[in-house]
Amino acid sequence: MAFPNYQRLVGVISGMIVWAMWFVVVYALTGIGCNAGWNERTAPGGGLLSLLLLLSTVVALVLIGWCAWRGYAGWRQGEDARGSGREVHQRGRFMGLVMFVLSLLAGIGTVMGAIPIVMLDPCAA
Amino acid sequence: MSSATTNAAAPAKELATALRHDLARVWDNEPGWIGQLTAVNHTTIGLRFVFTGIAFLLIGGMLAMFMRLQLAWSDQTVLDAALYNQFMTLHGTTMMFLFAVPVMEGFALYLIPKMIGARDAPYPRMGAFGYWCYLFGGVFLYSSFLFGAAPDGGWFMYTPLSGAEYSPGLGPDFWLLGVTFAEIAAVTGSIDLIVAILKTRAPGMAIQRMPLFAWYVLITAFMIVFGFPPLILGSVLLEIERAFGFVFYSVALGGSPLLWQHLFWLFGHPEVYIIFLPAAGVVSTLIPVFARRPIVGYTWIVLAIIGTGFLSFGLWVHHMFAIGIPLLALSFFSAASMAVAIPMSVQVFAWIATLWSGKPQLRPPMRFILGFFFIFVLGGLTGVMVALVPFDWQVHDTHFIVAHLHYVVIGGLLFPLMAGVYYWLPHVSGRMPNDGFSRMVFWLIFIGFNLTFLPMHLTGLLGMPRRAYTYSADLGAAVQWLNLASTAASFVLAVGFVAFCIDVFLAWRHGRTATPNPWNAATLEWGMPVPPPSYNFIAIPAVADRDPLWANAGLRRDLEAGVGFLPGAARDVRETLGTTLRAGKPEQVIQLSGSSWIPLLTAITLVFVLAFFIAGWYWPAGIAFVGTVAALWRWIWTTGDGDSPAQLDAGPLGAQPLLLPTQAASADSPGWWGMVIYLLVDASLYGSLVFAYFYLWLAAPAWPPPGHALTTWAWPAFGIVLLLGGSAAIGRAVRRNARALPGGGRSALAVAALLMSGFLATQVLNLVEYGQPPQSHAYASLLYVLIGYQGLHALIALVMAAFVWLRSRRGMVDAVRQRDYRVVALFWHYTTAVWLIGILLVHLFPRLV
Amino acid sequence: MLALTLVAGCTGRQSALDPRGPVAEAIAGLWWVLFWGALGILVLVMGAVFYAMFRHPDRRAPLPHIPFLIGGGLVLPIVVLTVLLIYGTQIGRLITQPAEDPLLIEVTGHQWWWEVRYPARGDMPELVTANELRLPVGTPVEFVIRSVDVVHSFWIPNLGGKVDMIPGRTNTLRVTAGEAGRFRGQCSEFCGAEHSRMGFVAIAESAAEFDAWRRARSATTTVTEGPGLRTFMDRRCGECHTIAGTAANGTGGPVLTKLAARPTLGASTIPNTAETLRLWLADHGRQLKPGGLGPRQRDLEPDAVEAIAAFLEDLQ
Repeated sequence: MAFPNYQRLVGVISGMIVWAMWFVVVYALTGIGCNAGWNERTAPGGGLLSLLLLLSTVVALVLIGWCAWRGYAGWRQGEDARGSGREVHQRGRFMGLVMFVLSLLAGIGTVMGAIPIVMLDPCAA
Repeated sequence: MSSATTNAAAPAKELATALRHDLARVWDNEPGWIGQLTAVNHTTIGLRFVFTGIAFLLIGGMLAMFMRLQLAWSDQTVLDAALYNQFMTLHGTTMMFLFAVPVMEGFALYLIPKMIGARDAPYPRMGAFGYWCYLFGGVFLYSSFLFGAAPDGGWFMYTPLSGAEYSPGLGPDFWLLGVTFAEIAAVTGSIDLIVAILKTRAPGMAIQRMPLFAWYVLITAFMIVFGFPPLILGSVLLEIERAFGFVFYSVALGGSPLLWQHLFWLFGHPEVYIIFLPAAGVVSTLIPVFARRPIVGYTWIVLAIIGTGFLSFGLWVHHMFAIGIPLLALSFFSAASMAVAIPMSVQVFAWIATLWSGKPQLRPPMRFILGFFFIFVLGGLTGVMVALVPFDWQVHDTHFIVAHLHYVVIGGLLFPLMAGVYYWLPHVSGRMPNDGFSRMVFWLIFIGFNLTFLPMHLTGLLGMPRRAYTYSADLGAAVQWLNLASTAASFVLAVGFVAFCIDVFLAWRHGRTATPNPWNAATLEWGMPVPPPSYNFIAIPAVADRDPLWANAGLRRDLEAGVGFLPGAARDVRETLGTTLRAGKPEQVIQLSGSSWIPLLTAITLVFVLAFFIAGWYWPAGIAFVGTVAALWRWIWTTGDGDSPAQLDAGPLGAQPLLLPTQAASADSPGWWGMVIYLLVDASLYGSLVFAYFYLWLAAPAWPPPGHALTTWAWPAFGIVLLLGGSAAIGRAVRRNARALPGGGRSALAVAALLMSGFLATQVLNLVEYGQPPQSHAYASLLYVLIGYQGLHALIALVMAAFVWLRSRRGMVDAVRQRDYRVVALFWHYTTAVWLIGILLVHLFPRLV
Repeated sequence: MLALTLVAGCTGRQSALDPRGPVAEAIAGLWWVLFWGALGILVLVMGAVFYAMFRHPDRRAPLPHIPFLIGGGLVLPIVVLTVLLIYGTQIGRLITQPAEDPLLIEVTGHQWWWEVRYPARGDMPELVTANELRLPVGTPVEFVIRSVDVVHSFWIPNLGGKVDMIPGRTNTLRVTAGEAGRFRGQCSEFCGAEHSRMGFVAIAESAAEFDAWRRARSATTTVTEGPGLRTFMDRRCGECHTIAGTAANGTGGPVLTKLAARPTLGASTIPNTAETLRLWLADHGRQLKPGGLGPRQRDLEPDAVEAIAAFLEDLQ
């Protein structure tokens, strides 16, 4: 599958867009969930809220990983055609590398944000 | 042999001279003060932003000097509490809104078209309009002193203190109206720069060959697009709460003071990166020049800038760590605040690597870059410290934060700015800075700054809160002596700034004349004569490398001879080349506006609107606003050349004609792209409103509150049918025009307008049925704002439909020049789509919870 | 200046660097780690900058670009920041742990004074006072934090961090005093004209001393009828101020019960002495705390000042 497309600017930033959506989801879940008492309802492994937060994180990381893979593949394509001297391949290398490392950065931001999820009770002030 | 080259050279030189003559006639500003008031050229407007920004810097600095005098010792009475609080508010407001953003916008507006090979920015009148809004907004704000009503609630204006009950005077209103007026410049500037960078680069300047400064400005502009609207919305809501009694922030009737804090900091955090990134762009531009080698890690820097832009939107609650919400919620922002340091490190290490692998030379601009490294890195490190919640719980709202913020802002913005001034001084003025004098300026500022602000880290830890007009001797002798030292050193800093201004002024007037590329730089702006001509390029050059002047030895000769696309100004109109977004292939000829009174007049109508509003004369304000609409109509009517053909030759002289569509005939016209970017701004504003809705819902015991339910389905259902019908009609109008059917799309336009009017009527009837006044509860206020927002967009759509109808009648729009239809359709469909969300909030959600 | 700072050290009545309780200690410990770490990184980075800038190009070690960018720009910050994040989150968790049976102290922010209330506990009745509080050493305290008007912030640096006082919201701050002492707290969220003069005195003492203080303060008082009280009521002071044992029961201003026992006036604006009390009464603090609230139109005549002052000085 060629989505997200490393040759489009929107594709290049797709990993970060996933991070941004994950961020909104976990912050909103924490706000709504603590208000609604979800943390008191237990689920396998911990409170319901914590579980939902971890699940969102896993989903986000999978999607970000996919974006990183698309970026890497694009970069490789450009690398393999390095000798051609054509602008489109130079651009492909550039966009692919940007997409790849930017997605890794998004992944790191997600993991760092998830560390407190495993360390803390979600609703304790 | 020699006579042949001489004969070939002579006609070429004559030709270049003739082209220059034509271009000067078309591009130069009119003479005298009329020329100054009507100028729209990016060189003029960009410099104006910089000068006005520096003027506000000096004013804000004077306010700070008074503050420092007051704080030199405990329990002083240099300034009383009232005056200090006004000075403190205006110092912060001036620096953040009237200096930091506009000055870098000025740099960007001046430099970007030159660096990317364009003759001007794509919306010259909008750039000029932005400037006037900025200037008038700043003057409006400061005029508050004349009325004894200077705002005194801090630059961040927390509610309830800034609400009607605790600040009954006009101070906050001056702030809200003045600052929002000045913010227009940031939004218009960002639309201008985004379209410039994406669509008007030189042929061959593919996106990976763009100067790094262009990447920095591009990301900054997108950050403005998404980051400013939350504050604009928050300010509008606060103003209508103060003026009309709506409820958003006051607790009694369902509002929340924390809503203001969220909206403010949703803007406030990206704002500081908006301030920093263009300055970092200056650093990325200067270091390769003074290291005499291309930048190391171009791709890495680009991804670092994009990463910074995104991550910085996840930090805002770190300004609110003490509000008492659960630690996990705070920790998300703590983690993001730390993560944002990662792309920052990538840039720092890329800069170090460039210096390391090059042959660095310590010229005047480079000295300030070294100062930047020390001060900004120190500020960034204290930033990592306060990103940790428990530590912030001690130092939040103390002078430790004052120290941190000045280190990152002065280090991260001001030092690169000064480096940039010295660096581009030869370009702007044709004269070189003086090495000895600039060295003295540097040391005065560097030493003065560090001795002023370093002690504040300690006074903060010793318990001195910020925004305090005095402090108790109980805090200890150390706090008193450290404050005295800060005050003394601040005089050194002040002298340094004055010396900087004098140095730049003297160099401008009497400096050694500069050669065309005195620093031996790589970017295109140095390929033109200095000072630059009003048209930048005799012909738009083709570019194939990241560092054009280094890679192509013959480029300067080609630029001087007028080798390139769109040579001269044969059609007596200002033109630049539009190219494709990623590859930079020539795509369209963009005709640009010349000098015009419209930007100034439009800004003046807005001054009347705001002046009448703050005086409480709402009907006259409404009438003045009609004047604004009329000015805007005239403005857009005179966009481009209504009679220009659908295609023009953009090719180089003597080459095969390169027929390209003019913008009205291009699918990717600046008009189209400008609307796309504007809609992103609008969507961000609407998104902030949706956030406000859900935020207040979360805190409310009952939603809707008793007595506030909307009971009927008839009006909403009917309304949505009408709205969807209107979109369908617009789509039909576009298609009919595209197929050159008789009557164009005019009848379909009329049908769409009718349906939209019907929709407006259903909304009004809905509100009548609802019956509760907006002042009764936050729920009611939100309802009115949601419906009002929709209504405003509906009205704008109607005006647009009338506009296109008239243009179509006049033959200015047809099957080839479709732009007007397509742009209106985009806005129309957006309005419909937004209501699909609105109807969820207004009608569906309250029935579900 | 440096010598003075080193000599004065970090001690102080309102100093975060002079921790007197476990919460403040944990945070101070975090600070020193951050300080030395930041200093180290600053030296490292500036060292690299100077090396890159000034070492002669021919004598400079060659630099492999990508490893340098990845190592310094990515790996180094990721490792350092992740470790810091875990450390900081852990400290945050520890210092906000609720205790088993904490002593509750309700503090409500007003423009520009502090309303302090000790709810009834065991056989101790409720105690309401203003601008001062005491806490027993070693007992976990839970401050219940509110505001009646604008956003303020409650902070005792020697004992712990701060929490905002937000109208419509109740926040919690947990501290324990580790040793006896007299500390200063101050409002740290800009709240208007006299934000700078909104401080309070916090005294930590042994549990026994604290109990004695509490008992003495909340003991019912018999206030003698006299010219002072009559003047006080005639001038309508009782409409804003409460004095237990009298008809004065206003709540707009600080409670004045047992005023004479308080260390300061005007929310730590000035110490509480015979002279300063009269100075304050003369114009209700217009000179001492100009932006403050309360009647300011007319100065009080000298004999009224004397009468009320004498009366208030008796409120022990």
